[in-house]
Amino acid sequence: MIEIKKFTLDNGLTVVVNEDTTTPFVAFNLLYDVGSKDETADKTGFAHLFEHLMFGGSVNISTFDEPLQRVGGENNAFTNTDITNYYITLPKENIETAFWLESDRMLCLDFSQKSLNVQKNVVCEEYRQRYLNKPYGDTWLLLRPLAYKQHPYQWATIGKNIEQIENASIGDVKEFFFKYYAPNNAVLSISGNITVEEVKKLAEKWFGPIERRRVPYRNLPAEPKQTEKRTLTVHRNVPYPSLYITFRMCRRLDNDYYIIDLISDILSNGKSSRLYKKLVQEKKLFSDINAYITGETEEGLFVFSGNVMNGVSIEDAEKAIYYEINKLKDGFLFDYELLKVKNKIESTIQFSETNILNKAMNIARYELFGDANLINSEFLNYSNVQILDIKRVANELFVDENCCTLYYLPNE
Amino acid sequence: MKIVAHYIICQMSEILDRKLEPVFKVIDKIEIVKADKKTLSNGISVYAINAGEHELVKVDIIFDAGEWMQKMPMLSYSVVSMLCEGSLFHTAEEIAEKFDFLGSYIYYNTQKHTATITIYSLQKHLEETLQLIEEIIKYPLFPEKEFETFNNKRKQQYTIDSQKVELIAQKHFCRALFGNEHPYGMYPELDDFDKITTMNIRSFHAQYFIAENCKIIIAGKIDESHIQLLNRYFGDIDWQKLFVQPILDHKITSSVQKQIIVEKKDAVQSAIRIGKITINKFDPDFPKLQIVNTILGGYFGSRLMSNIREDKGYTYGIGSGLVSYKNAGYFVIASEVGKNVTIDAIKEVYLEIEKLQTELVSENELEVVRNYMLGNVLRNFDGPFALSDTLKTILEYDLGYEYFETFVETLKSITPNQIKSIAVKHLEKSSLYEIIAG
Repeated sequence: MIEIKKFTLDNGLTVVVNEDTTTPFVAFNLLYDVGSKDETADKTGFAHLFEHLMFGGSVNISTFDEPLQRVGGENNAFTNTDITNYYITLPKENIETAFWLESDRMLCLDFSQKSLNVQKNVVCEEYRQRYLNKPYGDTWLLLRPLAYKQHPYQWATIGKNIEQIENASIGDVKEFFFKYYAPNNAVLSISGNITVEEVKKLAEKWFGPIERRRVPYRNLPAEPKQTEKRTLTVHRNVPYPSLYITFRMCRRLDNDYYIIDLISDILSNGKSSRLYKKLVQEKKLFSDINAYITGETEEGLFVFSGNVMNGVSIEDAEKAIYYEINKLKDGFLFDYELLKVKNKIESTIQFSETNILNKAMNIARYELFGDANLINSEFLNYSNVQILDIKRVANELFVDENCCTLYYLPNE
Repeated sequence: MKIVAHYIICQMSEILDRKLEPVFKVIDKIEIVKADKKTLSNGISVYAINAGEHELVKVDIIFDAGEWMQKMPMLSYSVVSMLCEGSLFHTAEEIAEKFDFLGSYIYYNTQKHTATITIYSLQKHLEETLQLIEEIIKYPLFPEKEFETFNNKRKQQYTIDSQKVELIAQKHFCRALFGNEHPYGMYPELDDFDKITTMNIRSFHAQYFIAENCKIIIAGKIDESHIQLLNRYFGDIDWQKLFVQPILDHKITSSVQKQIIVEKKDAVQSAIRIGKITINKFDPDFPKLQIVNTILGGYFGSRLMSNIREDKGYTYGIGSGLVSYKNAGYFVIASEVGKNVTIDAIKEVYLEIEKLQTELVSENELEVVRNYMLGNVLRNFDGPFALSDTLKTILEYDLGYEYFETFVETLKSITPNQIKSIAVKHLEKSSLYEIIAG
């Protein structure tokens, strides 16, 4: 149970607070409601590039990191398809430094051409390091355009290709900033050794004077219903074939989300899960196999990803996955197994609540969903799931018209 | 709550001037929740850390059974990973079912000198979890069939990993420093996997996974009853063997060649490793060298990051680190850089080292590094799980909590002149190895 208090400033900034006196630290998390889904098809990778530029200095403060390190702070950020999230942990006595730094870069960035040039290079190297120079590294660059044809989830957050990142201009940077980096487009969340009164005072002082901005109404192109199964085969310099099967699933806030998440746990959470037990240990078809969900706000993906064991045919490997899928569609599931995955969720939730940074990130995300307090009913949402729900949803989800398959094969 | 930090005030400000840093305080003294040392009936030492408010517990069961003791690569790791693959009373599948049903997380790890089983459990399921852990530690079967599957999986993963430039570079780096016969430089080749047999595994287990070779750390909201639980499952004399363990010595044979280039045709980046064998935690210079390392490449604002990433844009990341083992340590700079800027990036690395050896660090930079590192020390003691991880890092050296007191004192008192002379003493250019893979 996470105790949450919240308030909203006149400029629209929502602030959620969890007081935790068991630590000498405070976690400060600022979530902007902008992700790679807000990009246009000709300027992909921009939300993430922009995140890098947020560290290049703001209107009154020349560097972001140094003043934070001077007060014992740590920070980082990430961008995904839905959000851009900035976070800091620092000793509680020095929390005001976080307000000072984050409010200044919300007020206005420095828009330095040098910073843009350098960060374009850095992001291109990130692209090479994580997506081009690793075996199977480009998997998601292939899967997204296969699974989505209209919706902006069709490109990966890093961007479609390196060229689009290289083409970003300072004009793009300015436009993006004033469009999305607004108090009324952000959630500030704080967890740690601080009272809500102190947070209120500091938030008013540092964020209060920033003006509300006109944030565009989000109108994403809807993904049309898929009508038939899609497949793609690629050859790369890898030692073994890998198999990826995706099924388009519901939105994060739909009721079926919890049912689908539990399906992924039944299949692939822990050594006793079905895919590991049957396909790795027993039949030795895969060296490694996972089933998971992307958990995105809009319609996301249920993903099977497996590295096929040396000597096994990819067709046999694929058949075995469908055998497990069909068992679920037939309702082959006992109370014990369902209880097991629920127990594991209970344990995971309890461990995640021991960490203030986890808590701060999570309550911000739930506030964006509508109410930070939703986080406290999550376990109930999972524990309400019944065997019949699993059967129904498996039959709706795992159909060919929802399915994309990627055969990732070694060069001949 | 139980870790109290005392602060001194540094700066004052009144009005909203966005150019002016807010008042901040420097961490003055870090008080640590120390472990209570207890002894089980058979002599096993238990370090009990009572901290935190959650109904959760972490237990580390540590054996002196690391790579230092193994006669062939991967043996120690194979033993500890195979513990859960079947016991006298339960099959691998039954064991996995039980742990997952309890919601307990079990991790099996090998380090250079130790092998560790780490348990994260809800308080209410601790006893059942420990009961099963006792069984897999004392009565594992190491069945042939399960071992074959385990080994085939690992061979496949190994082949995939062998394509990653950073792993190629790291392997050649450690081998160059210590030699492939030495546990600190030993990296497996593909055919090494086939040399391990369940017989090797059984005999390594019988020799090293015994009470005399074991210590335990338990952390969380705990009391005497938890120690009694540990005593019930691990305190018996039934797993004492009364062996005298042989003292194993390994000789370091460093490569004569200091520069090694490993070509990988299709790579679009090169992985770089630059470094050398250096002092470990036993050396009084170590805390000072840690500060020098942090300035050079140990944090986001470091000189290597500022120059090679933030100024030149040659890389997504570059860092340096000190790795301390019981009998030696090494210093390493690591990065993956664009293929066409590899030479330029390496040149800048040496320039940064040289700057540390010839110019004095400014008071401003030293203040940033000092406070940043103090923050990290405080983080090491924040909450039961961090406290337990931190204790583990000093137990391996039989060092006490004084180690951190000395470290904090050094942080506060170190001068720019000392930093320069440590850089001269420990980072001499001609002593550095340079590995490039890509």
